[in-house]
Amino acid sequence: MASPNLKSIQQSPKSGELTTSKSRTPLVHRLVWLTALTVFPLIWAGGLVTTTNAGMAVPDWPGTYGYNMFLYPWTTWFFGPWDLFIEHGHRLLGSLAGIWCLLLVAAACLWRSPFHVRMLACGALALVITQGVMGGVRVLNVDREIARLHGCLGPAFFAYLVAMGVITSPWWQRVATAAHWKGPDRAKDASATSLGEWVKASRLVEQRLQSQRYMTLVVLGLAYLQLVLGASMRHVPESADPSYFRVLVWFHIAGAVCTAISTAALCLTPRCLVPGVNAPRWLLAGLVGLQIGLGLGTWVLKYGFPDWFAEYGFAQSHRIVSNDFYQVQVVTAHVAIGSLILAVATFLLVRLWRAEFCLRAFVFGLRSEESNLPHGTIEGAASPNIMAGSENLIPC
Amino acid sequence: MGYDEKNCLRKGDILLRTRANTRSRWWGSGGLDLWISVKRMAILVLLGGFVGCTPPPQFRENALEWHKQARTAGLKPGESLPDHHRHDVNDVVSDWFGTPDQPSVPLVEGTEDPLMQLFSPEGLIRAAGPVVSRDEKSSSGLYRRHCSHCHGVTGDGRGPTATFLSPYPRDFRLGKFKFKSSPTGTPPTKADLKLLLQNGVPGTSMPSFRLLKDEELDALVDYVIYLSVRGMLERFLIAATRDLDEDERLVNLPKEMRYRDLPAKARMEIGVPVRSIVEPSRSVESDQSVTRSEAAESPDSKIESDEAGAESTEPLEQTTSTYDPETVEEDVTFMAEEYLLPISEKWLGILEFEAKEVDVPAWVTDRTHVERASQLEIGHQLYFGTANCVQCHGETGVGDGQTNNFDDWTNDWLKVEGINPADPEAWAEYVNAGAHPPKPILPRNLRLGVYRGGDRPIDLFRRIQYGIEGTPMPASLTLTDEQVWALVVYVQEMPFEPISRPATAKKSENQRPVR
Repeated sequence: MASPNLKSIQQSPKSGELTTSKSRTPLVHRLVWLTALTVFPLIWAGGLVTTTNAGMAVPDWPGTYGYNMFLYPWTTWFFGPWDLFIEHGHRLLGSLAGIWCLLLVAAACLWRSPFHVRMLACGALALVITQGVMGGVRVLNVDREIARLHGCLGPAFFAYLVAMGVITSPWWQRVATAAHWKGPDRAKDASATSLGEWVKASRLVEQRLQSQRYMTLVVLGLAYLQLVLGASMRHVPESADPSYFRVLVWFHIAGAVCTAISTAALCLTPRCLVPGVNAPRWLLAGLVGLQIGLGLGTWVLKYGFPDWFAEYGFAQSHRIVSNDFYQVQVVTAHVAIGSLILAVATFLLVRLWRAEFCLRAFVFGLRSEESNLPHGTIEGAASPNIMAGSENLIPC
Repeated sequence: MGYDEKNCLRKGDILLRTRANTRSRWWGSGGLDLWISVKRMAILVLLGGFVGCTPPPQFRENALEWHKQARTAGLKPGESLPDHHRHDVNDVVSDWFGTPDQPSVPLVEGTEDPLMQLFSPEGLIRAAGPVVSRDEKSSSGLYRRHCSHCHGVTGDGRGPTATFLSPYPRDFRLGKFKFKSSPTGTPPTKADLKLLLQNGVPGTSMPSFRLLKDEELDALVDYVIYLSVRGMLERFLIAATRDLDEDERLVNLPKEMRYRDLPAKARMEIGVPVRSIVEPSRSVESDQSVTRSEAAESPDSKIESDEAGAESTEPLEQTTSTYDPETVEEDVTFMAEEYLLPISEKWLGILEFEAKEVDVPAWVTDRTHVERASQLEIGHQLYFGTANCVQCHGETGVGDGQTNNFDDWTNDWLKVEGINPADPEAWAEYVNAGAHPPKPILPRNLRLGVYRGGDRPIDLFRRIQYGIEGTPMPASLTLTDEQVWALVVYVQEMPFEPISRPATAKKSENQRPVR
C-alpha cells in the first residue's frame, strides 16, 4: 500500500487532535502560578526559620501570643526581634498561600475546569492545610521530628504546584494538537515525504523523549532524596549520636554527586526540537551547579574548612560568625535552591511525559488513518529501508 | 518520669498559659485551657497520630569513663563494673544536677551555697531546656540552639556534628579550657569564656557569637560551667567506684534498691538540698527557682531523675524500713564533701581571681621603636634556646616540629593502657564507648600570623606565659615577663621574616612552602 504524501497529512484537519482548547481555564492557571510564586518565598522564609532556629519564637498556634494571627500588632512584628519577625512572617505567608489555594479550588469549580484540574486544586488545598497543621503541631509539641516532616512536605507541595501549572498551561493544550507535531516548521527540512518515514522518525523522537523522561525521573528522585537528607541534617535530634549525622552527610554528598552526574547525562542527550523541553534541562544543570557551590559554601560558613586546607592562611584565619548575614543567607539559599531543583525537574518531567504521550497518540492516529491497523500496533510498522536517512525528519 | 504524649504537649501549654496570665483577651484563662484541649484533640485526630513525640534529650552517662575505669581495674574487654555502681553514680548526679530540661544545683552548704554564684538561676533558665520563647523579646534554650549540635547536650563534645570537626569540640567534663587568662591548672574566668564566645576560634569550627546579646553570652557561660561541674563530679564518682568491692555501694542501700527510688522527701531529708531551677508546676515566668525543700512541700511538685523511671510513691516510713537512713545520709554527705566541694571550690576560687596587670611595653606595639630590634634578637634566642619553642613549632616556625602529640582529652584514655594511636584495633573499644578517634594535635604554623587564642599582644603573652591548658603547649614558668614579651615580638614578626634566615633554616625538610 502506498503511503500518503506528508503534505496531505499536514492539511488533514483532524489528525492527532487530542483535546480542545475549551477545556483550559486561564484564571486557574494564573492562580496556580501565583500560589507557586508565593510558595517559593515561603520556602525561603521557612528555611530562614530553621537556619536561625526561630521556630519557637512564637510559642502558640494558630494564634500569635494570644492574638489572632492576622490581628497581631504589625509594629510589634515588624520592629520586634528577628526571630519573631521571621516566624510570624512565615506564618502570614503560609496563610496567604492557603488563601490562594482556597481561591484556586473556588475558581476551578466555578469556571468548570476539567475534573482532573478540580481534583488537583483540591489536592493542593489539602496539602497546604496539612503543611500548616504540621507547622502548628511542631510548635505546640516543641518537636523537631515534625519540623523535619514539615521541611520535607514544603518542597513537595511546591513541586506539586509546578506540575499543576504545567497541566493547566496553554502548552499542555498546544502539544496535544496535530499542528504541533506536523506544522510547517517540522516538515520543511524533510527529505522524505512518505508517512512511513515520518512515523518511523517520530518513533525515534519518542524513544528519546522516553529516555529523557527516565533520566529526569532519576534526577527528580535524587533531588527529593537530597531534600529529605538535608532536612534530616538540619533537624537532627540534639541527642543524636555523631555516627547518625556522619551517615547523613556522606549520603548527602554521594547524593549530590549522583544528582550532578544524572543531570549532566540528561543535558548530554541530543537536543529536542519539541518546544518547551530543552531549556529546563539547562536550567536544571545550572541550578544543580549552583546548588553544589552553595552546599560547599554552607559547610565552610557553618563548620569551616576541612583539614586539607590547614596550610592555607585564608583557611586558618577564617572565623565563623554564628548567624551572620552570609551564613544565614547561603545556608537558606541552599535549602531554597534544592526546592527549586525539585520544581524544575518536576516541570521538565511533566512536560516530557506529556510530549511523549501526545506524540505517541498522534503517531498512533496517523498509523490508524494510513493502514487501518488495529489500536496499539504502531511498533514495527515501517521497514528498515524507510529508516535510512530519516534523521532529518526527526523533530528532536 | 515516663515520657508520654501528655507531657509532650505540656511545654507549649505552659507557654500558652504564661501568655494567658498577661493577655487573656480572647479566651480568658479557663477558656484558654478549654481551647488548648480542643485544639490538642483536633490536631491529633487530623494527623491520625502518625507523628509521635520526640522524647526530650537526656544527659548521656560517661560511658568512656566507665570503660576506662573498668580497664584500669583490670577487667577484660567486654567486662564492666557492676551495674549498681553505675546506677548509684547516675542517680546521685541526676538528683543533684537535674535534667537538661530541668537543671538543678546541689546546695552542699545550705540555701546560701556559694555554688549559686557560679551559675545564676536566670542564666540557667535562659540556657537550659528546649528552644522556646517566653515572650516577644527573649527566648530560652540558648545552649541547644547554639552549642549542643557540636558539644552535645551533656557537654561531652559528642554532638551530632562532632566527628566532622577539627579539632573535635571540647568535652567540658574534664574541666579544662584552652584559652584563658588564669594560670595552668585553674579553671577559666567567666570573662575568658565570654571572650571566647564573642571572638570564636579562627581556623576551627568554633564560631563567634558576637551577634548575641551580653546577657545571652553570660547565660551560656553559666551553663557551660554547670555542665563542666556536673561532668567533673560524674567522673570523680565513677573513679571512686573502682575502689569499691563488688557488693559495696556508693549509697548504702539494699542491692535491688536505687537511690532515685527514694521519695523526694526522703532524699531531701537525708541527701543534699537541691535547688531546682525550672519547676515543672510553675510557669517559666514566675520566680525562677525554688529549693527542693519548698518543692517537696508543694503538693503538685515533682523532681525528676535522669532516666524515665517512675517516682516512687511509697510512704517514707515504708521505704525507710528497708534501708538505714543514717548510713545513706553519711554516704551522700561524704560524696558531697569529698567530690563536689573540691570542684566547686576550684571554680569558686577563680571568681576571686584577677588577672595580673601587665603593661605592654612600647616596643611590642610600635614597630619602629628603637628597642624592637634588640628584643627581636632576644626573642629569637629564646625561641631556639631557653623557651625551646623550636621543639614543636619547628626551626622555621611552620609547626613541623613534634607533631605526634595528643591533647589531654585524648590522652585521658589513650595513656591508660599505653594504646598505640596508630593501631585502630587497639582503640576501637574506646571509640565504641564514646571517644573520638585519636587525632594528633599539630603545633601552630606561626608564619601564618593566625593565633587561635586571640591576636592581641596580651593574648600571645598569656599563651606563652600560661601555656594552653589540655595541650602540649606548656607554661613558661622560668621566663620573666620581659622575656615573654620578647618572644611575643618575635612570634609577631615571624610571618614577615624571610624563611631562609640562616639560623632558622637548618634542615631542608623543615622548609615547607608558606602559602
